[in-house]
Amino acid sequence: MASLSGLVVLALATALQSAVFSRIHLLQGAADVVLLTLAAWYMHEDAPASWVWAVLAGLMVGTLSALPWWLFVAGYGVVGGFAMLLRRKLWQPSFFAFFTVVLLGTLATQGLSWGYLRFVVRSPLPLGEALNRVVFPSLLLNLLFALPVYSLMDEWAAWFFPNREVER
Amino acid sequence: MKFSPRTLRALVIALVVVGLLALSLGGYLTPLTRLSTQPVLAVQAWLARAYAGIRAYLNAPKDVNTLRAENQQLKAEVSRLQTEVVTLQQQLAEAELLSALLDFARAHPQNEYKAAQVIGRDPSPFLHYIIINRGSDDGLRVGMPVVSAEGLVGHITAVIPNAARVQLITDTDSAVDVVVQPTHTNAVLVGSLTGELSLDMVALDAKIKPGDLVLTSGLGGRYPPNILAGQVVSVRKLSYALFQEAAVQPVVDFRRLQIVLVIVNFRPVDVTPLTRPQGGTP
Repeated sequence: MASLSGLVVLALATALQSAVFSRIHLLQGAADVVLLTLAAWYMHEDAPASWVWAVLAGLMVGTLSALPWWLFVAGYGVVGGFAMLLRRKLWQPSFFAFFTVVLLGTLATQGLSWGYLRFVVRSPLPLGEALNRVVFPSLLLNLLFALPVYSLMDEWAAWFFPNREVER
Repeated sequence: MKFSPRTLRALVIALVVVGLLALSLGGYLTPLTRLSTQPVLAVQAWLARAYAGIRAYLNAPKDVNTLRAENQQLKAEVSRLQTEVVTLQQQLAEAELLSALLDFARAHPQNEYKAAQVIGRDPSPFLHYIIINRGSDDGLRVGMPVVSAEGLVGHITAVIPNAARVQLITDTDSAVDVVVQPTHTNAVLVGSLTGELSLDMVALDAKIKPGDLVLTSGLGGRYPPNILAGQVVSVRKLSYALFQEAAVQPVVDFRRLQIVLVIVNFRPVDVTPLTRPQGGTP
């Protein structure tokens, strides 16, 4: 049931990303709600962590984007991998750890997109302009939206895993 | 004539009463009457006020409940009317937009159009693409040009049965063959990361100036000719450069794009194998 609802939440996040958050710009940067949802899911100690979530999220976003789907799978894979590593290393995942995952995940996904466009498609995207106009503003927006998304996912997880909540 | 004491007393009383009545009817006793009735009236007024207060207090709960119910009803009515106003405003804006699109379609009768709604944007902030709610089921194909009431928007790069992805002319990988009017100068309109447009490949001897119009030329076979794309804002001419450069203000507000028209009877010619055998668009 939790896995099914996780799928619904990811689909909802993808639709929100394309319909709403891609229109909210800071310079040319935009928040990545799918990344935030994925990171919050992975960092929640009760939620079952699996690579499948990153692959599913990558496929969903890749279907909408003109960029190849595997770029998003790779980017979200980095998010999932880093989050799972932190979950194993830390006694209890904190909000600070979630922030770190968002920061590194944003840099990884944006870096992969830029690298593909710059070196494979050969689009005129200078690194400095890409950093100043897209990557850093996107990072700032992601960090701004991180808190509400984390809180929402926390509430949602508490709703789906009430027994584990009591055990603690 | 002799009166008994009892009769005499009655006679005196009767005379006093008649005298008082006569004085009263003559108005001589008015100040005295006012003085005597004032305390009585004051007490009566106080009693009336007290009674009204007690009555109001006893009836108050019923009135508050009625008022609350009325208030709820009025609030619901206001809310319904506000919703209606918003809906009507949206319908008005949509009607204005459709009217503008109809004007555009009438001005270009040689083309056949299919209207589509913008339902999303590319999730990657590096790209300038939109997603529309019409696809191959509606006869849309890859390469078809997309316009709005103002002018050129872009072309379709991917289609599924009920949706399509459109590359905007502001995308970094977009290049549109254009002609600058009134000088008939051929150039290439290119997009950028910031969404700004510029003219490239403009010959040094070409006389273009701010205010000139930029229209599609039809060269390259991707877009039909004479669709307005923008207006020249500034020109930069360097003596050591091979070409001039010009900044172009697009006529379409890409951030507020809601409804677009797809030109469905235009068959684009793919000249990519002739011009760029390696690489491609994403």
